[in-house]
Amino acid sequence: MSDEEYFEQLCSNSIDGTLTDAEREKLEAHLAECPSCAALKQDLERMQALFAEEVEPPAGLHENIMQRLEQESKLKVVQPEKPVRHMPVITMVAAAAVVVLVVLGGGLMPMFFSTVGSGSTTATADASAASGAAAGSADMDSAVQEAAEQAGVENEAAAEAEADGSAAPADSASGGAAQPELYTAGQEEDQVPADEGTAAAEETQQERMDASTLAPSEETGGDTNQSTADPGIAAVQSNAQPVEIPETMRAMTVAHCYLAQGGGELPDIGGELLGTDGDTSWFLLENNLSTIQDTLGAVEDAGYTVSAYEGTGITIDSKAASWMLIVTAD
Amino acid sequence: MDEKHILARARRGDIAAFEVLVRQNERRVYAVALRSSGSPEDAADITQEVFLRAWRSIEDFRGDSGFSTWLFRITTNLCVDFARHKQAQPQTQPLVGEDDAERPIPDPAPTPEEHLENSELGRELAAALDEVSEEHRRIVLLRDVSGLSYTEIAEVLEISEGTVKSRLSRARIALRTILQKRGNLLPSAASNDMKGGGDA
Repeated sequence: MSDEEYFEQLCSNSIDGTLTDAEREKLEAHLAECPSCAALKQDLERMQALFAEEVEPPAGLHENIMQRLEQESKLKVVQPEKPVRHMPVITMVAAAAVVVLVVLGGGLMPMFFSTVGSGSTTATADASAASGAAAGSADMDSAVQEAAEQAGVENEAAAEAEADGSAAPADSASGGAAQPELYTAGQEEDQVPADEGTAAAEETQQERMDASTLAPSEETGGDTNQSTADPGIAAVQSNAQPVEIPETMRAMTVAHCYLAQGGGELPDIGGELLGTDGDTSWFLLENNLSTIQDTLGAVEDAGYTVSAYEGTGITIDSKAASWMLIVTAD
Repeated sequence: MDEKHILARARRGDIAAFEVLVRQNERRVYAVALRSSGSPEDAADITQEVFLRAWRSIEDFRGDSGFSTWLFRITTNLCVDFARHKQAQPQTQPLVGEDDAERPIPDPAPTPEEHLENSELGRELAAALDEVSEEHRRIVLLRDVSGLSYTEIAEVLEISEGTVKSRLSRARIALRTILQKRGNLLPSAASNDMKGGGDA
C-alpha cells in the first residue's frame, strides 16, 4: 500500500472512529501538512452524514409488511413440502386407516404384495408394480412418514404402527397407490423396537427413495393417478373440523384446501360452486396467488375464520390447477 | 423478552414474535433500500420483500450472527439485484455523461446539500451509488446506512476486517469522485485530480 493509500484509508477509518491512538497521531500530523487529505477527510465526513440522514418511512409500511407476511403464513400452512407440525395425530390416524384398507381392500396389486411379502423382491417385479400402481400422492407419503416419526416419540403410535406391520401379511390385497411405502413402514416398525422409531423413520425414508427411483413421478405426484388413494383417506374424519368432503368430490386433486368458518353474509366467491349441503358450501377456484389472497381476504373481512382444511378426503398437490374453499356456518 | 427468545418463537412460525423483529429493523431496512434505489416506492417494495424472504427462511437462520446482520445481508443482496435489473432497463440513462458539456455546473454555495429537498438528496446519493461497482455499493450501504460494524460487515461479506477497511476506503473515494463530478452534494474538485482541491 502506498503512503497515499495508507492515509486515505486512515481518513476513512477515522470517520468510523476505529483508529488506534498511534494511527490517530500519525493521521493528525499528516493532515497538518497535506491539504488534499484534509479535504478528503472533510468530504468523507459530509458523505457519511448524508447517507446516515434520518429517513421517514411511508405511512402504512409496517402494516403492509405484516399483511404480506400473514398472507404468506396462511399459504405456508398447506405447503406440501413443509408439513405442519400440529397435524401428526390426524395424519397418523389417516395413515392407520389406509393400512386397514390395505388389508381389507380390493386386489389391485396382488402380485406386488406377494412378491414383497415373500422376501424375494426383484427389480422387475418392483418396477412393474410401481408403474402399475401409478405412484403415491404427496400427502399420503408425508402422512406415512409422519406416522413413522411419531413412533419415535409416542409409544402408542409405535404400538399402532407395529400392529399395522403385522396386520399387513404378504397376501394382503392392495387398495391403491401408496401401499409400497405403507407396507415398508409397517415392516420396519415390526423389526425395530419402539424407542428406535427415529431409525425406523429414516429407514422408511430410504425405502421411499428406493421406491421413487423406480417410479420417478411418485414424489411430485403431478400427473399420476393419485385419486386411486383418496377413498382410503376419506374414510377418516377429523375431530377438529367436522366438515367432510362429499363423496362426489373425493376424487379431486386441488392445490390448497381452506375452511372458512363463521357467520355473516358470504361475499361473492369468484369460483365454481361445487355443491351445498345445509350450512356448508364447497367452491373450486383458480389456483393463483392473487385469487387465493383476495378471496381469503374477502371472506375474513366478512367475519369468517379461515384455516387450512385439516380434514381428509381430498388430494393436495401444489401444482393442481384449482384450489378448494369450504365455507361453513359455526 | 430477549432477542434469543423472540427468534426462537419466530422460528417456530410465531408471526407475533417476528413482528417484533420487523419493528426493530424496518426503518433501517427501508433507509438502506431508499438510499440504494432513490425512490420511496421502490424502497417500500424492497423492504416488504426483505421481510418476506426473512420470514420464509427464518427456520434456516442459525443464530451464528445477529439477526440484523443476517437481515442486512438479505437487504443488500436485494438492493444490488434491484439496481442491476433497473440498470438493465433501457430507459435508464447514464447519470453523468462522458462529455464535459454534460457535467453539471458546480454549485458555488458552501453547503450545497442544504438547498436540496430530501427527495433530491436521495436521488443524488442513489445516482452516485449506481455508478460505483456492486461491491462498493454493498459495503457503503452496510456501513454508512445500515450502521454495521467492521466485524459485522466482515461476517456478511465473508471477508477479513482488513479487507473491509481497504474496500470501504476505496468505495468511499470512488463515491466522492462521482459526487464531486455531479457537483450537487460535494464541492467540485478544483482540478480533476483524484483527491480534488478541497477548497470549497
